[in-house]
Amino acid sequence: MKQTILRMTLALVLSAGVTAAARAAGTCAPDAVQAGTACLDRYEASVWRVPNPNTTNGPLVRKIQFGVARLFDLVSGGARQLGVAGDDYAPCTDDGQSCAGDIYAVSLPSLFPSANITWFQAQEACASSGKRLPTSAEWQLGADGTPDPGPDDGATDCNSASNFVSGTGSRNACISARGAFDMAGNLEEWVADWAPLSTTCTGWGGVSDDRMCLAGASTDVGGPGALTRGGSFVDGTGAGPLAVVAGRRPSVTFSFVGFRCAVENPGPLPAEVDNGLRVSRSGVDAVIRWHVAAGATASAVLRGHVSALPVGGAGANERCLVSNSGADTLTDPELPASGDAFWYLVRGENAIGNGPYGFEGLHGVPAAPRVSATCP
Amino acid sequence: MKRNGTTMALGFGLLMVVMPEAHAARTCGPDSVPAGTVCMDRYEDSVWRVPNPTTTNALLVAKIQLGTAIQADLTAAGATQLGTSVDDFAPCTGNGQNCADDIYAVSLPAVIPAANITWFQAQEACANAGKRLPTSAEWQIGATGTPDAGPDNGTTNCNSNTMSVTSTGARKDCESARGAFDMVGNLDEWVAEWVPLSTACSSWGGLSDDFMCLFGASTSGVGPGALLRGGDFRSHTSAGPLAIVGSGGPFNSRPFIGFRCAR
Repeated sequence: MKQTILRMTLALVLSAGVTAAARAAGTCAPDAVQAGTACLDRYEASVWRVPNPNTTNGPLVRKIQFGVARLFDLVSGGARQLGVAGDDYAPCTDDGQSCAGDIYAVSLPSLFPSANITWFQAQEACASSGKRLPTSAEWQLGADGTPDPGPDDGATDCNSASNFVSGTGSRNACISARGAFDMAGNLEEWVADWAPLSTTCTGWGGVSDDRMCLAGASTDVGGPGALTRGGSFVDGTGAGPLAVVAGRRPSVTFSFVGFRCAVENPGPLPAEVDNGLRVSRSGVDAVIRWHVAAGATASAVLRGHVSALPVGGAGANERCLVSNSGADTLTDPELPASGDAFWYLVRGENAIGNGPYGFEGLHGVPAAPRVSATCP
Repeated sequence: MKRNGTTMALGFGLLMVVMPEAHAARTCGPDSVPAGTVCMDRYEDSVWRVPNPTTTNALLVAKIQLGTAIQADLTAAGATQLGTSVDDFAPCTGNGQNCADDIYAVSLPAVIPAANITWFQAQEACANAGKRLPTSAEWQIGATGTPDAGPDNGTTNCNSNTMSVTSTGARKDCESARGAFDMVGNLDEWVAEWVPLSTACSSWGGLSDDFMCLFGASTSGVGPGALLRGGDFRSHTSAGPLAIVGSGGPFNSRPFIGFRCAR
């Protein structure tokens, strides 16, 4: 009698254009770009009111927090975008009260980003999404390389002179060295830092024509200045990667001020293993070979039954074949039961921690991250 | 009995999210010391131009980012050190353009640390190394415990009165409570914050003789102030763990200003 043994390997494929060197410094979600120790949102934020975030829309909130939510997911969940035409964030108040678990910031392409939002509301929207406002220094790293606005061609240049907001990422030449869109122009962006409320603009001298309004220190009552960066669609050549304004109080709203969020980069954890993962047969044994992940000094191999997917699920019958191994090959002499199959996952490990197992794929789109506690 | 095996390799073109590991205490690479929630570079950074950083030298870059690169790794890979005598960072410009994947900050002992570097270039060098400039508060945690500069004996004390830079870690007593070297003197160090350009120095009163030049807010100066900490090799007793200056713009490129990174 012939018995067919099906061995399956879930091999993770690097996305094109992402280098091993860049990935070794950490891993950002698809909605963000790597900027030093932060993952900075790729797009200016749209803000969404998500109904039932702790019950029926719990999975949607987790997608938002993992950076994989799409417009379709939000609309399907009954979420509604805020801040496009006016300040419609209530009951979330200007000072950030009643906002937790109510409004969520999402980094999405091809949408009008949300404006008309205070600094307090912006950071609440980031926090609900598991993020925070970037510091001005972090914002600067994300902005470096963005073309400084000259005449706005109304199509591909940064949106600095149209008097209207444009869709996120639609000005496709307005991209920074690290891949973030609209850092110059479109909406001015709140960042985390406060300063004494500035009283004037002094400029950058001969270095730049960008706005430089972090000067003087008000002695009036009414609150500090919260920094905004990058300029907006009304600033003309005053928009740019050096533009900084500290003359706006954190409790006020403007139709030309929005934000984007950031989150800590996990750091120099190993990258995901590349698509060199292979399983071959040697007699009745399975031989697993892989390329040690970028930034890894060791590897772990996790095995489970296809009949018990998903990874890490109840009754997964998973086994950690090896961990903290310096090898790049492993022989598995065991066989799955007739009609079943094994899957194998490899992750990198180093002194800082463990690399990822990657994402479950749904119709080719990343869905939930694979999580398993089987390997230590 | 013969068994036929079928091998299937399924490709899932994926991007992924990594959730940070929960650490009871921060684990730092050998190039840095734990300082609160961050790893502060043990030494003032040297800056290196690494050729072919995404191809033949990708492994070296990974080592830099993991904090395990040593000077021999850099020289063997053909990396060249920058900023030791002049501003030779071009094509990486003073405002931080063309710097991504070009210049890398490395915390190494016994080398001349990089100076002649703007705030923008410094943070780019940190970012390429998977790090960032520390905040002033983070810098303070790293500096605490460093002996306040008195008369500089020229050998083991903090380098505060020699008029020239010394090699990283050469002044053996100039070490902080958490193990970072040269936080006082040697080079002024850029930190992350911008402020309105300071207009004067006041003092710390009876608390300290260190520089306190975060005072006033210019309404006419060009650009903001980017904070400097620690004093430098010219500062005499004004160098110290409390020394702070807000009167220098982020475009300043001077032989007495350097930096160290954090992650």
